[in-house]
Amino acid sequence: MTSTHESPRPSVHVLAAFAGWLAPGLGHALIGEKQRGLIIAAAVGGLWIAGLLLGGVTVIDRYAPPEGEQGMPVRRLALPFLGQVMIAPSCVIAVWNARYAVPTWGYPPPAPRDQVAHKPPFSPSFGRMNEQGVLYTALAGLLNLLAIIDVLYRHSQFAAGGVA
Amino acid sequence: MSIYLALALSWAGALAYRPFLDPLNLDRPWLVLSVPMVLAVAVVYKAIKLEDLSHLPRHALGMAAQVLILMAVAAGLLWALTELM
Repeated sequence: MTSTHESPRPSVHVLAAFAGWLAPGLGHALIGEKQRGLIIAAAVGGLWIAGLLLGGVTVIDRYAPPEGEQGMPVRRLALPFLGQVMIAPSCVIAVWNARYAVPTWGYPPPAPRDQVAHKPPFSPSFGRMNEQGVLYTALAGLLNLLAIIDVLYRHSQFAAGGVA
Repeated sequence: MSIYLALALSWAGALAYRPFLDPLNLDRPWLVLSVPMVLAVAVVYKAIKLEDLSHLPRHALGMAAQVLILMAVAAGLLWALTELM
């Protein structure tokens, strides 16, 4: 038995969600929720920038510190990066950081001369400041994921006009 | 004299700080850093949940306070569990 009245399909704002990934809060602004977008931008963006100020750009790293035997370290993905990557600018920083990564895997190890040539313009962070920086940036990414999911299914008067 | 030297060195270190390139030296008050973090979580959560954003400051502050109090209680219980028992 089929119904003659079809329920309207809920609008899914894919473009706004992508914009929210590029810049926190931009997705909400695009669907007409400017105030909500500004609040999210300030909170998520502020947390992300605070994380970078605390620990420096080295808090965003795709790989965890190498483990394993000397000369044969095992590289594994850093779990906090899965949170950090939910904000697009983190990807830019990760790629920029990778330019200065000295290859520590393989055999023979890199010569000291090569290590000097790869000298990065930033200082690595350790200990508490690295932990806090990683925590801040990963948490900002996870909160942005929450905002992206929200904007994906949010109904607003502006989106009802068929913008996103 | 040594305290003046230490102060001068710490000021010199602060002046040499390059934002985003060098880590900040906030190792001692690191626990205080949880306050802005909890506040940001509460603001984003309430900004998404509330329909009327005029109530946001009150709701966000209330939620942040609840989280901080619960964290303090959990820390106290864990301290008692490990130190007193």
